[in-house]
Amino acid sequence: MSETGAAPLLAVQHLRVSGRHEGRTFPIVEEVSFEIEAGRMLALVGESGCGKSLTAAALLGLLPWGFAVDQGRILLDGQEVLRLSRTDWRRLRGRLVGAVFQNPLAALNPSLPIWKQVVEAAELSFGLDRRAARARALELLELVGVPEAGSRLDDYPHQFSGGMRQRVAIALALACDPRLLVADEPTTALDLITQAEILKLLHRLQRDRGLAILFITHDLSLVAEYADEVLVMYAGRLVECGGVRAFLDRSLHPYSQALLGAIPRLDAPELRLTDIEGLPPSPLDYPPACRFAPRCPRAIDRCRSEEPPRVGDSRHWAYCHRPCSLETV
Amino acid sequence: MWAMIVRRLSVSVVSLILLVTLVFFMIHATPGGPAYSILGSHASPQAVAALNRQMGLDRPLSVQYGIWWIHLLEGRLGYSYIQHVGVSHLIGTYLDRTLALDLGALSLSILISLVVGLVQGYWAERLGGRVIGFLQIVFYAMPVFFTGILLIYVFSIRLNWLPPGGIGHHGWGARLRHLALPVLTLALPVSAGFSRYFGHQAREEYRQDYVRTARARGLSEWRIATRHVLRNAVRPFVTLVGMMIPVLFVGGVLTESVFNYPGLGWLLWRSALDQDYPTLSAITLLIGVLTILGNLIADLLNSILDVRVRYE
Ligand SMILES: Nc1ncnc2c1ncn2[C@@H]1O[C@H](COP(=O)(O)OP(=O)(O)OP(=O)(O)O)[C@@H](O)[C@H]1O
Ligand code: SF4
Ligand SMILES: [Mg+2]
Repeated sequence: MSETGAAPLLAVQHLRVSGRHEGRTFPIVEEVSFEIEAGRMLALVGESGCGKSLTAAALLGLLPWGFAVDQGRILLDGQEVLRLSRTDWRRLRGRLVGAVFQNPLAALNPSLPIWKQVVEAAELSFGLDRRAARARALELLELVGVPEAGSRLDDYPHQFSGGMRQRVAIALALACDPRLLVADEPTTALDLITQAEILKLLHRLQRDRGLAILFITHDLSLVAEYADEVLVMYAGRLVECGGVRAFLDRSLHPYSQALLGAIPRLDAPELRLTDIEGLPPSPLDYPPACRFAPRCPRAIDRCRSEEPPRVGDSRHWAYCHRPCSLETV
Repeated sequence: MWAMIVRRLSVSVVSLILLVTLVFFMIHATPGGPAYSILGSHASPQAVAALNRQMGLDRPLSVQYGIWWIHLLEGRLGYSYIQHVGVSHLIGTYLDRTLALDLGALSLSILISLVVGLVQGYWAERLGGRVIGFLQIVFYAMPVFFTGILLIYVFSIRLNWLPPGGIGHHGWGARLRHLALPVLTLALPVSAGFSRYFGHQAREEYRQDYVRTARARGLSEWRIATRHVLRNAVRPFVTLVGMMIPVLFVGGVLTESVFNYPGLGWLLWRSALDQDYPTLSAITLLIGVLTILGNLIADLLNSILDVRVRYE
């Protein structure tokens, strides 16, 4: 995918994340490979429970107890983080990566004034004194567009509105000038107008500061405008990857088409993921071969017995026996 | 915040008034009145009448109640006819021993439970967390008598490291050595209870998203525990500690009797056996006052910590 030939900021190769259930280890996320370059926004899209958050947690080294990466490599700025000691990875993460999550109120400590939280990581990394720290907090809050930031430094999280809280949470993530931001459904808890504002903010950061963003969402319409590339995940696997234009114009995988609402059979104009018939499978019993087969309108017998091949080219690919719109690629 | 403090103070004052009144009626409800318990149940009516006059017990109850208050406010707690000394003097001698034991055990319990609770919260899903939970139940259920005797057996009889009871009279070193086993005995069940509660709070906090955000920012586990989790988990814990102070006193009474440690609990026990009502009522009052104070301090501390209203 690399167009410049330079090493990507983040490269994930054949990542597998496993969990334990009743004493048995089973893979939840498998064969996930992708790259992000500086200044690009990559959208990771898929239904609830498909493994988006686990993928993000694996990248951040924040998998919950009982989950582990048991295959693959994660290269962050050329360093293989899975080989680093916990402390080294923690330091690298603090310097290079920021993260924003779905619920901005829960993401902030309720009993610390926001300026302390905003600069905490920077204070520790750069050893700022109190004045410098407050100045840095102000700078960060202004950067993310908190109005009258100067008078709000000592406020507590509950004193902010939902959208402002998410801005504060973004300020926290930016404290050490990270080069990659992992945003796991950062707008899902917000109303439509606020969603758009937060997206604009992220886009501005991406453009002005060369920030790379991994944007996780189950709402495809949200990313159409700003993402550079789209990754579609289904039942723990990537099923399609492509530049956003190519993807929107000629998506290859029937699941992507369903997400886009492009399949004529589904006539709802504002299609959401939940509108696809049937339920995604549980990681405990993923179907054999193509995991989408039970719900796929184009499924044939082969889909249920043979692993689907990779189709398309290196820029835009999918795993499918009967891809849509391949003839036009 | 000031309104809250004023409200909280008035609750304490009302509790104090109720306590004083209750103890007053407790004395006057003793069978035959205090004179009988002083002179014995076979005393002649003349002797009883004389003593009653001498002690003002023949006056109307309302007057006695007023005098009771005046004496209390003046710090006059009466005279022990059994021990033949003023009750204030008696209590003065025993109080600091009890405070040393109870406050020592309280501080040790708080320290232990903060450390153990944080570890338990951090290990919530791991084996270590469950082992701690099991130990807490064991220590919590162990009676003070049993723990005390066990500790005496191990540390005094077998190892001969620490004295098995009494108090040291010669210098701080001796005092501390005599305090060690009683403090430990009292602190074990108390810290089991405290740490279980605090561990639960810590576990809840460790589940919060802000812990994940902190980790995502590359903060160390030490900093997350001390700056983030502790701060939020400690608030309800402060209230619990305040509420548990009476329980601590009761445990202290038992501990004092196991170790033959002459503190207030020991005195309370003696004066109950001897029907020494002035001493008994003074100790009851004192324990009540300390309890009310403990709760007040815990609440005030809590309101200082809780500058914001937690938004759920
Ligand atoms: N803490 C956990 N305990 C048990 N199972 C979990 C846990 N977290 C995730 N899972 C399981 O792992 C799978 C992937 O979950 P993940 O949270 O990554 O999905 P997601 O794509 O982020 O979904 P959502 O859109 O709901 O956030 C799910 O099937 C879920 O049941
Ligand atoms: S492989 Fe078959 S079942 Fe799977 S998505 Fe393609 S057409 Fe549908
Ligand atoms: Mg998720």
